[in-house]
Order: sequence, then C-alpha cells, then structure tokens
Amino acid sequence: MAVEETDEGCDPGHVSYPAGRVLVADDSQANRDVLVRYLAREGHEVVAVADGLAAVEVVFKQAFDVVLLDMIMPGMNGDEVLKTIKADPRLRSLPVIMISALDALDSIVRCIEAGAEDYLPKPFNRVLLRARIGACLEKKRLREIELSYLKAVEKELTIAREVQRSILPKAFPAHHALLGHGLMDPAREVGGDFYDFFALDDDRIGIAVGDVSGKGVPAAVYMAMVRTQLRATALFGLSPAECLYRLNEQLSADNAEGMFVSLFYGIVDCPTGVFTYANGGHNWPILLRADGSVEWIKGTDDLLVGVLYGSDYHNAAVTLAPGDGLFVYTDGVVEAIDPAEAEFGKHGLTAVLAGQAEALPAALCGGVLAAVRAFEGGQPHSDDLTCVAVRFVGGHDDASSFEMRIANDVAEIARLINAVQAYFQRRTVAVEAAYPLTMAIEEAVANVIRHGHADGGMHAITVRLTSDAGQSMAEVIDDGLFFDPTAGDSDKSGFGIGLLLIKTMVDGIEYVRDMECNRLRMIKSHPRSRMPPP
Amino acid sequence: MKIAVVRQEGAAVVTVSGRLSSAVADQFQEQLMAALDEKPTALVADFSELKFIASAGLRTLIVAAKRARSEGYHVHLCGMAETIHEVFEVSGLLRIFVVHPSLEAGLAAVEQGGTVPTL
Repeated sequence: MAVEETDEGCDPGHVSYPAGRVLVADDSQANRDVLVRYLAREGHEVVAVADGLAAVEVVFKQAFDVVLLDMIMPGMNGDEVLKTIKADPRLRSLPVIMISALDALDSIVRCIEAGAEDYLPKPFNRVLLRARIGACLEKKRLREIELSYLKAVEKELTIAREVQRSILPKAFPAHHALLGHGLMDPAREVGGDFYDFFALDDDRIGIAVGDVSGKGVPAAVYMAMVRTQLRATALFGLSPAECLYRLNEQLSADNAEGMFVSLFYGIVDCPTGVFTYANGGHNWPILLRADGSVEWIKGTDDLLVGVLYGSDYHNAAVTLAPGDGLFVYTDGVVEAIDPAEAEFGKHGLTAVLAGQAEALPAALCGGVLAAVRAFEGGQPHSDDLTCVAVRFVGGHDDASSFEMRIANDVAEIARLINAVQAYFQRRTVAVEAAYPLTMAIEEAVANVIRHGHADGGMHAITVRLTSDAGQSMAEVIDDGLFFDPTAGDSDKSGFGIGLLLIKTMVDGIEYVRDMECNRLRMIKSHPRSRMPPP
Repeated sequence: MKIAVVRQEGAAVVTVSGRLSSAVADQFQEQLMAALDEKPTALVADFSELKFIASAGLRTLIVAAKRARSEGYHVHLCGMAETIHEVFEVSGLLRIFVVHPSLEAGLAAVEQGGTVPTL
C-alpha cells in the first residue's frame, strides 16, 4: 500500500482538536504503523488491531472516542464490524470512520447509510486524517456537553416539581362535617394547575382550584404567585368574590406577558352546609347529590383572573345536604383526547361521577384520573390534570348526636378522635366516662381498619355518638367482613386484646349484622356524682 | 390546525380551523400579531371551522384585544360552534369581544361600524 507522506515534517494546520482514544483496525502492518504514528503525534491514545474480529472484541472491552475501520479485512470486513457496533445500544453513538480506496465509493455510501460518521481515502493524507478525527472528537465533546446540560436541566425540573408539590396542601383540614381530597398530575415536570384548601376558622373551609394559561416553567412560577396571593387574601376571611376581585387587581396591574388564571374559590360553612363561591372563568364544578344525581355549579360567567383590571366578580351559593359532594377540576379532565381526537368531555366526567355519592373523595379523584388516562389510551397528556373532591358529611355540632365518616386508613384515626373528644366536651360528659369510651372507639375502629376488609380497597367507617344524662353510646358501622366480637370464637381474629380492652372500658356492648354492615354499639354509664345537663 | 389571513377592505380576516391547541398556539400568536402589524381597521376571526381552543389560544386573543383597544379598533369573533362559544362564556371573555353568528354578519357589522364593548 502506497503511503502519501508529502506533508511529513510540516505543520499540518493551526486548528487544535481535542485528544482522545482511537481504535485502528487495518490488516496492513504498514498502514497501521503510519496511522499509529500520526495519531500518537497528535496526542491521541491509539490501540491498533489487524482484523475485524479483534476490533469487535476490543471495542466491547475498552472505551474509545472514535474507531477507524479498514473496509477489507480477513475474517470480518469493516462494514460488518460497523453493523455490529451500530446494533449495540451502548456503542451506537461511537463515531466510526471507514478507511477505503477512493474507487470503492459504493461501499462507502453503504457504510455512511449504515451509520458511519465519515470515510478516509487511501493513501492517507495527514491533514485530512487530523481533521476527520478532530471533527469526530469535537462532535462527541459537544454531544457530551449537551447531554450534561440536559441532565442539569432535568435535575432542576425535578427539584422544581418537588417544590411545586410541596406548596400544594398535604391534607384536607380536619373537620368532622367535611371530607376532602385533591390531586394534581402535571403534563410536564411542572405545571400551571393548582388546588388549595384551608380552614378559615372553626366552621369554614376554603377550597380553590386554578388553571394558569400555558404550561411548563412560566406557568408554574405564575401558579406559585397566584396560590400565595390567594391565601394571603382569603385568610382575611373575605368573601370569594371579594378575594377574586383583589387578586385580579394585583395580577392584572402588572401583566405584560398576558398571563391569566381561571380560578374557582368557594367556602363551605360546615354548620349549615352553605357553599359560597365565585368563579373567575373556570370550568363549572359538579355538585354530586347524595342520591347519586349530578348538577353543574354554574358560574356567574365572571372573567378569567388577571385579564382586565377592575373586573367585577360575584358570589353565588348552593346548600349542601348531608351526603352531597363537590367535584372541582381543570381542563385536563374534560379536554383529554383519545387517539381518534375525541374529547373526554363533560359527559365523560359526569358518567364517572354519577352514582358515586357514597365514594370517598380520594376514591373519586383517583377514579377520575384513572378514567381519563384509560381514555387517552397511552397518548401523551395534553394538559395538567387537577381535581378536588369534597364530601359534606353533615354537621351535628349542636345536636345531641354525632356522626362522622372516615376512610379505612389509620391516618384517619386522629381526626376522628379529635372530633369525638370535642363532642364529649360539648356534651360535658365527665372525663371518667368520656375517656374510656373514646379509647374503646379507637380500638374498635383500628380493628376494622386492620382486619375488616379483605380487598385492600377504600371503605368508609361511620361512627355515631349519642349522649344523655345517664349514659353515652358509640356506634361503629362498617361494610367489612362479618365479624361479631361478642361471639365466643372472636379471639381467633387477632382482636383478642383489643376486645378485652373494649369490654373493660365500657359497660355494655351489642353487635348486629344489618344490611351487609357490622354495627357495634358500646355503652358507657356516666358517673353519678357529676351529671351532665339534660 | 390551519390559519389563513386575508385582508378584506381595511379589516384583517383570520380563519382558524381544526384544533387550536397549546402546541400550535405560538404559531397562531405569530400570525395574528403579524396581521395586526399591518394596522387593520378591525380584526375579524372566522371560527366556524374551529373545533377546540386551549387557554394559550385564549391568551393570544386577549393580547390581540388589548392591542386592538390601544390602537383604536375591535376584535370580532364569528361563527363559533356551541362548544367554543361555551369556552368564551365560562371564561367571561364574551364581554371583551364582539361576537357574530357568521363571518358575513361580522363583516357587515365592521362595515357599518356600530357599538362595541370596551376593554
């Protein structure tokens, strides 16, 4: 093989390239020697092999920045080595330069099509060799910079996502008359949707759902601002319309980007069930009646918040009866599309919600999310999806009786016990009776949560309390497996010690299985010395 | 989505068909703003073939309405299907646009001048 060495000894150029690890595969000793000499002089680290099989072996064992392959070699030709490299996911991005005689243009073209980066004609030209190797290394370096940049952006977005999640409320405010749950599923790492709920005082709970125009980081930043300003305004106890009015003034006063938010904000008055709301251009929420029917909570058609300074907002109200629920959501629910571009729509939503009056808020939110994702059939989500479900259990605050529904989740126990204690305090039940009865309730409820249901699903447990001058009675109702703690063999259930504790704490226990439900009644007499008022 | 902009008398007539989703909202914004750079006497949007509008599309229209106000003309929305009309109704935006049942009605109203809401 003739080797062109005309430029030997002169400076091959002024452009500087990064150095790297180069694999050379050529069956000609003379060619290998020339290439190794050239490349080593440029500062590259070179490994040279004499045939295709050896090239494949070494390329899988060691890391290289670029590979030079002779087209014709004994055993395995260069194009076959190329195909092997390009077929491996780890090596696919490794640049390969084919070495070939200039008259083999057809095979060069085939190799370029098969993924070769470039080719080097024989006899070698030193400037060309230097430039092609340099270009490959430079390209690789840029790709690595790009990848590390992407990784950094990805990391920042992951952090942003966590920060955004952390400003959403962790749990619905504890109140015996109201249960609630919210979820937000952004279409990208961060989104422009949000929800919020907060206690304004002992009786009133505020609920907000908003959807900022646009998506991604700008929407997320605006969302954080809206949520903060809404809380700052709402906690003064202003009416929803007044809050939206003020928020709109703040947001529209300085809004060069034309951003806006559709915002629904309402306040549930727990003793009366009156839900007062204002709607700044947001989708109509749904009122789920206790009988399973659904109604739209129509807005006052007030303007999106942030668009027009001084725009008016109006209050409207609906009254919730015990068992009624609210479902507030964003576009991501109704505007989800299936592969044929049909919309999930309001019909899709009401179809999921109808007849779900008994479902707990978390199950409602989860059910809607699952229905929307199933409808999309694996397509990328077009928008952030947010929903908040609320169930009004009803206020028995000033009545002589108490009723509360909780989910079969140990996290619910604290909320229940707080409400039970508040009830006994209101009824001025002496602590000698209230304390053991409260403990007995806790034991009974914990037992239902741990052993009551075999399906692992979400169930409701109802606790009722009544109290008169002589005694207090607690009733725990669950739809779990048949379980009679008063029967002789109840020790087998693993509830032995708990049951013993209950029997010790209270003066009487009764059990009935009624309409597929367990009803356990526990009665505690009040001490004679301190009678509560009738 | 397809966008077509034509000049009819002094008015810029923008026809949008298909889905104005957030993916194409930037393109819509670009073309709409380019049309407004030509200093029209009115902006008339023909939405009779519009199937869906995302909030990013609403934002572009709001920006256009604000610009139109400062430059002394109005934005007319024509031929909206019921579902699209509902989006404008729920978002309270009907008060800042002039709405017509059809493009013909919109162009006739522009020609006659007449009362329009103020932003």
